[in-house]
Amino acid sequence: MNAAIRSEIRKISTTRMWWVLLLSLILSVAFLVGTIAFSIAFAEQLGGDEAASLTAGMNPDDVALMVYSLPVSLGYVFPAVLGALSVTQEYRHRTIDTTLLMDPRRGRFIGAKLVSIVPFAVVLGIAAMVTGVGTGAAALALADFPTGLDNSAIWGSIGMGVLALTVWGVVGVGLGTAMPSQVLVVVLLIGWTQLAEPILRLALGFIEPLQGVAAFLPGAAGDAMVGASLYSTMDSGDLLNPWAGFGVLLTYGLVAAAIGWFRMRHRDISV
Amino acid sequence: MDAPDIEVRGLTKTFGSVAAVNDLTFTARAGRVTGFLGPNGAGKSTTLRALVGLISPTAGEALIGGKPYDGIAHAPQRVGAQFEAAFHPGRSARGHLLTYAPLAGVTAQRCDEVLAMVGLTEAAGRRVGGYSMGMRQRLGLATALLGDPQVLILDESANGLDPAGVHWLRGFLRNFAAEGGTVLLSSHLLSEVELTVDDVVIVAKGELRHSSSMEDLRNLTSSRVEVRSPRQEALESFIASRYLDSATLTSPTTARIDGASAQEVGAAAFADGLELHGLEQQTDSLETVFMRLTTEGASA
Ligand SMILES: Nc1ncnc2c1ncn2[C@@H]1O[C@H](COP(=O)(O)OP(=O)(O)OP(=O)(O)O)[C@@H](O)[C@H]1O
Ligand SMILES: [Mg+2]
Repeated sequence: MNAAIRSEIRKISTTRMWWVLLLSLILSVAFLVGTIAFSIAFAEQLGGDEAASLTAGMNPDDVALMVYSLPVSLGYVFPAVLGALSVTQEYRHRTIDTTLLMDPRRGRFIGAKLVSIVPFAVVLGIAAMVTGVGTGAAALALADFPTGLDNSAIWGSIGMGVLALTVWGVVGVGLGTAMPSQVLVVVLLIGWTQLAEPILRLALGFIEPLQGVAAFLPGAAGDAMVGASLYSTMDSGDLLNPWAGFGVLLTYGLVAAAIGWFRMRHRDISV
Repeated sequence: MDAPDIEVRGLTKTFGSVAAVNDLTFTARAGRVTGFLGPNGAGKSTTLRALVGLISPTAGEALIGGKPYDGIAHAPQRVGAQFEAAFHPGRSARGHLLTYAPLAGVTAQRCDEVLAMVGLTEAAGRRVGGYSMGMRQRLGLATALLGDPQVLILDESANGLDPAGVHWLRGFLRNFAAEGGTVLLSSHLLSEVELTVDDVVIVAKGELRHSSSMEDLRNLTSSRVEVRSPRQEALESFIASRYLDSATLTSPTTARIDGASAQEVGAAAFADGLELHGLEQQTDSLETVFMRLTTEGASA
């Protein structure tokens, strides 16, 4: 298993993909968190009623925490795509042949993929949280808004943000094994995380008996790990507690990987 | 080297309604290079993929040393296989090999060694995306050789190699087999591997058409002589007296004599005082024999 994991780690580190995603992640988190944090912090000066009403009645630490959850809400697509591509590229470039020649045990292949994404997703997670918290705190401080960084609970949540982004990498690997078409899985990830789930979360919020279900959606589970979400302040839907969120999100990844393993078990690898 | 044999027994593989391989049986023995030949779509790649567990047989077995591929301990150190070139275009050749080194159980030094063997030392640091077809084939071979295996399974490995590359591959495989290794090499061109292989297994439409040593295949080539003489009656009596069973008149002034040589027929005609205006020997090339074997209906 060690050899398989070392091989998989080298596969990621010998291509540009992972640091291209790292740079894109830093740029988009800086931009998005900056924009949102500024519009919240300067809501009164800008006269934006919407943004002002968004945070009205929230205590300052909750506002800060919501800002610091943004790197997870907005950035989870990056570790997830990295994880998914680590699998789908094997099919796309047909290196899967050589990989299975070197070690024909397919369960081990999937296991090694799941483990080897972790260090890279941790790096992406740290980069996202450092960028997001840095940008967010700067915006809040500029507007003389409390940054909450003197609160140790907030630091705990920031750490959970790194973990959440790491688990998203594992979810990506799971999805990639369950659905090895590169285009399909990337479209699904971006479409789901950026479009389908936010709409679904809002919609479920309006349907009384299904309100609890929204908390179990993967994006909501990831947000729950940080303990705040842009979307949950919008619809006031309840989030799971952080470790329950961790469990739910990880389960998505492992269930997808199990489906992938089941599909791959007897599947022919042919041209 | 105590290399295992490759055994294919009653192998059948269907993809939906397509019977890619149908009840195929043959053995590739250690110490020999076996050519696995057949036209496009004959089922060669399917058979080779079944041997290394990439596809599972519908029926029958594909074994190496009596075991299915996933039952072989340290498989990359026993068996090396090469299929259609498949690399991540963003990796260098060295990066590609280093990626597989842990699974093959080898060090970075061995990666450089196999790169040198296939003549890619200078290009080792370049991205594979910029490689030519022949360079990719060489890297594919280097990958197959990474674990220093005793069995080589090569799918169209000579394809795209330049003459020097083909020559090198021939020498390498001859030497590999001479040291006791087992080689199974597919090709759709007999001429490409004619000088490399000891044995041939010929398939078409998923079925075995011929299996023998290369020498026995050569003996299937036959020659005939065409003679022309303006003296019709003399020609008729010449073939009637000398080649009654093997000759036929194809025109009043032309006869075809099977299984004879021009030298022999010319001498006989001279001895009989027959005036000749034409004497031509025709020999079936190996390629013609190969065509005949692969295009005819399934042999009994
Ligand atoms: N995954 C697949 N799905 C459907 N049909 C397949 C599949 N793989 C192979 N076949 C069919 O099986 C037959 C044998 O294919 P195979 O690739 O084994 O031939 P080949 O002898 O390697 O040919 P070539 O010389 O062109 O490489 C062909 O008719 C092919 O179309
Ligand atoms: Mg083929």
